[in-house]
Amino acid sequence: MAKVTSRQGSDAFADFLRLIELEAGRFPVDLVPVAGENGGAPQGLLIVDQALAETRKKELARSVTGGDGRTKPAPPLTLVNRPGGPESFHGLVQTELSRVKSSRLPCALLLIRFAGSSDGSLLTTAAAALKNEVRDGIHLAHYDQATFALLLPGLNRNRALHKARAIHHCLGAVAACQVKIGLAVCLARAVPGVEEFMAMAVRELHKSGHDTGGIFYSFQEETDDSCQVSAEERAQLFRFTGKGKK
Amino acid sequence: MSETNSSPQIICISSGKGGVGKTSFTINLAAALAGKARKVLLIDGDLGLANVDIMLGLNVTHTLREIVEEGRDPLEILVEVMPGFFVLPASSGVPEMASLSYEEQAFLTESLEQIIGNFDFVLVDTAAGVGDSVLWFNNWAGRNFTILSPDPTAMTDAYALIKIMKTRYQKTEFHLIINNVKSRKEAQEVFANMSAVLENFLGVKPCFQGAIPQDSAVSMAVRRQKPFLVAQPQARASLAVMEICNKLLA
Repeated sequence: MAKVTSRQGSDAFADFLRLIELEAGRFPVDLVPVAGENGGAPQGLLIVDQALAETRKKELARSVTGGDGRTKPAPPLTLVNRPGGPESFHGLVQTELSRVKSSRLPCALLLIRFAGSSDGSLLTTAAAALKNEVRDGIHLAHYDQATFALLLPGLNRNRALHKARAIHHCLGAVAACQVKIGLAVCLARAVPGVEEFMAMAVRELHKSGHDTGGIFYSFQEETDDSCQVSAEERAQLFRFTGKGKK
Repeated sequence: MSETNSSPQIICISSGKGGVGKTSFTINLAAALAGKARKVLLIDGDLGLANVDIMLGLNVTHTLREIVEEGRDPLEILVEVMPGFFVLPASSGVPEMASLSYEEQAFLTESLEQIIGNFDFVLVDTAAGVGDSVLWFNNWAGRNFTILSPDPTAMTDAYALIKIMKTRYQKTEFHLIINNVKSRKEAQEVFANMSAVLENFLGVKPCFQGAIPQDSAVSMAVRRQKPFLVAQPQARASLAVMEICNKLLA
């Protein structure tokens, strides 16, 4: 059993679980989070083989969570700007960006807009629908009358995009209008300021439309290993020493 | 200490790979510059596993750690090795110092900037690798010296470091020092090869800052805990460092 030794407290454990989730994303496994009482801080994470039969997965989940792991009540959404105002969400983003620096785990920010709608009740309906897509630690706030901001700690680019697609699909079913999503991801190697990070998401949101499938993110052009020394570079470097053939 | 220069040359000496000769070169370059009547500050940038004090045979009581942790005045930590040659020693065996937070880095930079105006040259001998402190010191410095030796690992690591500094920090000027070469021809070949790859892939044209030949005086000086330039001023390595020093002052 792995032991979290670098930092103490529930934050460290939550970061550790996110790290496992990130790694697990590369394997054919299902993850069942074990939430604390009343949707509190996570207490564990069950990893099961994706190939197992659904009934077996449910049995395993039930043995750990006391429920079936899939039908357990969704954790409450943190609507941080009520009644604290937009500054509360601003503060949460600030905290999360600081955690990205210290934990080296990424985080994602989604701005979700219901195009052509200023109906406040639509956001309430959407928030209810979103409950199944979110887990503890995710922060949701009103960005403006027709826009949600969703802060997703621990999500890298691929997982954030996967989540954005799932949310887009989910909201498309409850909203009659077009749903647009702007997605920005903060990586530990280049942590922006709060304003910059939120502005990134706003820019992506403005670019989002029918032609982009309702989701826009501009990081698809970038590569994660832009500084990695390539095989070609190595070969040329070693030419002098006669090792380029290897 | 009276202020002599409001904008000293800050030179960061890195290699990527360890054991290439960064510290040895840096202390000797500092000694050479001091010998030319320049005031030199050598910062031991290997914050968690310091070596500069050991290579100079210093018995230090205060280190950079106290600047970060206690807010101590850097002037209280300075050690004068020889006239005009000052050292800011770092701590050894302190992992926390090797991974400073952004806030601590900013605080350290601010503290260092309060005293560097007293010097003509500030040399930073960084840790090996491409850790935060290495990148941060390289970004802070006005000049970037990269040391490499004629072996594939040293060349790859030096290239990787330059690539990071170019890609993430938009640095474009790099000075190469080829250490431990058998001959001038070998140094030229290594530089030509490195230069071609840097230009081809990164669009960077490095400057040839000099080469230091293989010389038993180097290892002997390390054991005696003295700069080889002082112990054996006529040694081939000493003459090579003097050449680099003169080039820097030209």
